[in-house]
Amino acid sequence: MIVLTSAAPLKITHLDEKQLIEALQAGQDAAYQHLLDTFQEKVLNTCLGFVPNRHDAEDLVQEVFVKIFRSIDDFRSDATLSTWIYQITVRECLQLIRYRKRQKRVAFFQSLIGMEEQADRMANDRFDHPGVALENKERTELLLNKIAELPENQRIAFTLHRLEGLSYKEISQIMEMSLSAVEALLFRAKKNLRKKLEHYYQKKMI
Amino acid sequence: MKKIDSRISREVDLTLQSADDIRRVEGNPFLLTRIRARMAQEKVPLRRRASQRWLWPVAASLVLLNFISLLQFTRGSAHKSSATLYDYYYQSPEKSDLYDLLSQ
Repeated sequence: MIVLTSAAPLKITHLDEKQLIEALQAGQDAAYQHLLDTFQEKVLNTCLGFVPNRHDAEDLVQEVFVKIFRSIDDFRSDATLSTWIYQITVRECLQLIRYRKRQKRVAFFQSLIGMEEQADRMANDRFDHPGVALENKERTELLLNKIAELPENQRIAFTLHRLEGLSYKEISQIMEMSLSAVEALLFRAKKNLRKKLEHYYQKKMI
Repeated sequence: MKKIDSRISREVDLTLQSADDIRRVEGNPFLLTRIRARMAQEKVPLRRRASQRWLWPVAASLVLLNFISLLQFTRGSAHKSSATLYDYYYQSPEKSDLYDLLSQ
């Protein structure tokens, strides 16, 4: 088991990936701090793309890094560190989303039989994205809600590309798919998203 | 109708473009401290999980013991023991004393 010590035996400024992984596997505290400094923002913003709630996203970031620190010994260099971290992040986000869906179903049945915990549980789902300005809140919330309605693969590809700004190649490595498959996914995601938004505005205007 | 369609199309475009206005959010500078505390906290459940490994063998052996005693019970030893109990209850001196006392 890796023990995080509070002492910082070395100061890491510029390390190549291999050196960083070796330092992490050796349990050096400065390496952990370096990893957090490099990847925390990316992980947090990806989480916010999937779960637009500050509290949930911060919990997810913590969960992701705990997983990374625990399994750094198992990391094999057939993928880049960044790809590996994104894979863990996406997996954790999807797990939380599935868990929330199950919770909603349970809350629905509980509300049918008179147990009123639904309101408390729904409070965790509230839109609270710290990166969205107040004047754009309504539109962005709608966009993220419609992205959430997409099929899982399309949702992952679209979020990583449009919100996180990753290239097709990076997404193909994270999702372990071919480039053409990612292109097709993104094409379908954009088409579906436009259709969903059109449907929403048609209902609203007519 | 055309006017509504163009309005819808404009709204859809604006909504899709709203993704560009999402600002990057900065991380928590004290995350390592939180993670360290969390990992220290989780040492207890990990140990508890390890002790739970013994639960299944213990449960299986209990089931096996139950099965063996059930087998012995159905092979006739139960019949004997119930007969003994019957004999003891109805033919014991205590019973006859009580019978005598009641019949007086």
